[in-house]
Amino acid sequence: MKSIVELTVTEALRQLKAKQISAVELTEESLSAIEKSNGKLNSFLTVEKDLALMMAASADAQIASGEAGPLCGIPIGIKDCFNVEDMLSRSASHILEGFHSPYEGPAIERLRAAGTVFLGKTNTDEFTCGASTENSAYGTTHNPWDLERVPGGSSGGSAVAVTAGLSLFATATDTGGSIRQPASFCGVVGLKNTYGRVPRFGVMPMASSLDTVGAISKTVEDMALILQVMAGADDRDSTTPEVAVPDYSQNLKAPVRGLKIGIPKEYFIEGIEAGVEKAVRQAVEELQNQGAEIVEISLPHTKYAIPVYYLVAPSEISSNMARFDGIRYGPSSDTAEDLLDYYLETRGTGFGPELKRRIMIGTHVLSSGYYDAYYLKAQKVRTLICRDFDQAFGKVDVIAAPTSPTTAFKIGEKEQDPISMYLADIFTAPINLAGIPALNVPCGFSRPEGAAVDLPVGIQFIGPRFSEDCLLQVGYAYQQATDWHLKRPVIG
Amino acid sequence: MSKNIPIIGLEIHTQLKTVSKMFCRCQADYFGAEPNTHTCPVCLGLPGALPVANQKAIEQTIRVGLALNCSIPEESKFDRKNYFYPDLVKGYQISQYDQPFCVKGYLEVDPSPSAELAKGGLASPLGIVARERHALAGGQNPLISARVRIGITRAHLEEDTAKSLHETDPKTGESYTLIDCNKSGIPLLEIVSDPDMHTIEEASAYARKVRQIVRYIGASDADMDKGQLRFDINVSISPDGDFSKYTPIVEVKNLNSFIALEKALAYEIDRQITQYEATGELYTAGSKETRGWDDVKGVTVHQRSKEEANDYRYFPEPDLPPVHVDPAWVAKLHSELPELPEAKKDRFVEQYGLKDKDAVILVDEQANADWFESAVGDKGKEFAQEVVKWLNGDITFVLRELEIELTASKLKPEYVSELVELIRSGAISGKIAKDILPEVVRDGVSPVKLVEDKGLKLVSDTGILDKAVQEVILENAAVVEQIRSGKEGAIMFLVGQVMKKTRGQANPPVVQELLRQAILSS
Repeated sequence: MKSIVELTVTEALRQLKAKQISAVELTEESLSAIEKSNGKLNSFLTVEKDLALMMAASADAQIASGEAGPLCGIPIGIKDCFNVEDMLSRSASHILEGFHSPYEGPAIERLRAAGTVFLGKTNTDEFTCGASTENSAYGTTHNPWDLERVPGGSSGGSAVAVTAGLSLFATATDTGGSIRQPASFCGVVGLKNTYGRVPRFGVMPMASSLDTVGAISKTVEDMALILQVMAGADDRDSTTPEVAVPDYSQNLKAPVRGLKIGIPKEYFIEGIEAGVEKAVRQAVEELQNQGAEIVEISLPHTKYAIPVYYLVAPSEISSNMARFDGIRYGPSSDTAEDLLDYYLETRGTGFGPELKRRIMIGTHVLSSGYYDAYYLKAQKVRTLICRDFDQAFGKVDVIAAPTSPTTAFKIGEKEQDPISMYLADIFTAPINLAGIPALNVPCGFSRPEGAAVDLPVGIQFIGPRFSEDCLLQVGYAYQQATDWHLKRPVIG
Repeated sequence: MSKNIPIIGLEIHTQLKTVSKMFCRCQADYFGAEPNTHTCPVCLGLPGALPVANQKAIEQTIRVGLALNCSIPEESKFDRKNYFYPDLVKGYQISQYDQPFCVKGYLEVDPSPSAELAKGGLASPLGIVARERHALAGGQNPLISARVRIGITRAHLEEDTAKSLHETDPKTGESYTLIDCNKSGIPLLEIVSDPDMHTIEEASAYARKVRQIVRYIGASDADMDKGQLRFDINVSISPDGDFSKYTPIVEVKNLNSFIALEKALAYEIDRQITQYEATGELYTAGSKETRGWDDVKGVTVHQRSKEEANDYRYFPEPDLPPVHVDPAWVAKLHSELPELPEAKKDRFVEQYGLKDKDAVILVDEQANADWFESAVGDKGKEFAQEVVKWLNGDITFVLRELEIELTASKLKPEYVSELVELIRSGAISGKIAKDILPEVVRDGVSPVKLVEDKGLKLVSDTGILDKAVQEVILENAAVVEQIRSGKEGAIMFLVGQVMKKTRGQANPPVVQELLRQAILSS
């Protein structure tokens, strides 16, 4: 049997079905991998050992009875911003200390029904606000390729769990790059879905108009299986349109011959890490070799994406975070003299500095007298960014671009410089503003200046709304021809 | 001499009558339920919960808008109104900012002197009755009786907040607040008027009419005892009648009865006049104050000035897509609206020949109006007028004694119908009808059956009546003499005596004829 570090969901399902391994054994392996490495990685915030073994036993019973769900017996990590009933769900924030959620939403319900085994909660930047996982209230997650480096964020815990073989896949969310950028930094597959493809109900929001729910996996083939389970409208989320869910695995193996792939010149800018550009261009060449047509395109409003994103997102964050007042749940001040004091103390101690920064920016942006100049204008530019993509997709089927301008940076490197941290989202945030899907696929390695080891590089394939099947098709074709996704780090 | 004309605008909040809450599936009717039992992740504001708009509430909102003569724009949306308060579970209220469901409507009202004001009991602490201090107030002013049109700026849909219960520990004296989220997320319609009202009577009449309409179309029970209808008032004074110059606007929030509305207006008008006379201060951009109403002391109290006012930081609710309102659907809702009180009153006057004032009373509650029509059936104008006489007279009196509403009583419409029929046919006298009415109302017995069982039918059998007539003639020789000498009117006294002997069951015209024959022909 393959080591769990290398085992894919597809392969594990085959072995489970063939009774070569049991769900309990698989879960025990995951738990021991967590026990072995989590101290160094801080990928999992909480490990639900008893629950996991119980779910695994139940999965084995289902497999034995022939009534197994499509992901039955697969141990998974769950990003901490997902509510899981009766499970500590904190979104890596002190303000939800002790919050055992009384409910969960469709994404978790579907994974439960599919037979997955919940190992526990993975680390994230507090309320998913960040690009490095350094903003977690419960410590930074470390990149398995180089423990001195960040895994990216906010889904750093999930990306690391998959990379280091702690879980076979992990749930994640992407508001400005939070699935793709950590997947890129860790050398794994991450799919940011079309806005509304997977219901958000039950997932703690960051910025409601940008938040998307998805997963991180080892291979594109695995991702097709996972999305099949997670996708589809739900009447508890008004932003999930009734768009049919195609058979993602069925579409996977179609050749890319004749497909038009656009290369946006705005994504190959000065300052991009040389090794990143090289790896991405080589990946594009590979697709060209397979018969895809490569077209140079322009997305002229790309440069406005970060300013727009950092006006829209904080506005929504400032409002979404208002419910955390310690009155109905979460810790609260017991020394406050009056109501204002109570709010100041509860929220002042509950939130970390980056979240406070965003709450303040958002509050300012929405204030009367500034709303028109900032929020409204940002929304207008957002429309222009959407139009860029619409026009591009009139010419091409898919856009290929680097996921991040750099490989994983050092822990602490950008902590004191929020602007440079915000620029980490430069190639991912525009996609969230447009609400379209993008898939990160590992495409090589680069060794930036000062790095001791080679670090993973990711390419993202971007498509029009609800084109996940097409993106998976391109990613699969690429992975059939390359082995970057098979490389595993040796945890130091 | 200053005129001191008040400028008044009203914001009316009414809870809509829906099965479930505004944005979740919790049961909306929480009256009497244990605190925090009608709740779910959505209306508790748990992290990750999302709103789903209640289509029925949107429909009710549009129906109210149509009844208030509003336009219904095709494009509408929800917005977030952000502020912190313990009863606001999400830290924002989902409301509507710049694209409400209903805009630009109006209502015509007939202000009548308020009963409360007429009592003259609304003296301010300064000892001056407010209604005497501004030119257009008071029942004597001719303008009061004129019909006025009140513009409606907008009507928008939002969610109600949770309920705060402020408690004091009897042992420690420590005060604390409890939150009950049953009310959190109840659909709430806010109807905003233009500042078109200039008297307390107009404001009161407008508020009452809005309540009547929302109840009529079944959009809300608007039960004030249950807090389903609340008012915010905006008041300022135009010292010389020039409406471009007025005193700083004061908003008085959360008035939950008509009496509170009227008293708060009276107090505030008086206070502002006094303040203006002392300071001469007029409104300048932003000079707005929010005051609360102290029902016990009967005064408004300062809460905050403009500088301290909330900046609600409205922005479009990203969790709810914009709402497209199909004009064909609106037209259908319009055509399906029930007959509104105004139209019903006019029809009653026309169809049944009722007096305007009787019709106004009848149509006040739709159930009463329906009751009336059911009692009248197709028996025509005269019959209808008899029914109204009973309804607005003796029946109202008996109901009041029993402390029960007409439609909740055991009195069926057909009983009144029977009663009127019995009198008209001469089967019973009006007096007997009055006598048996309390029993009919209290026990719900058919008057026909009651008259039958008790043998109350008027006696017209001359054989039976002859004896009583002879007795009365013998007992009242002097009166008989008067009649014989030409004072025929005195015969009525003798009729009364016969009625007495027959315990009211004699048919008076028959008795009169028997007496006349016995006296004049002998």
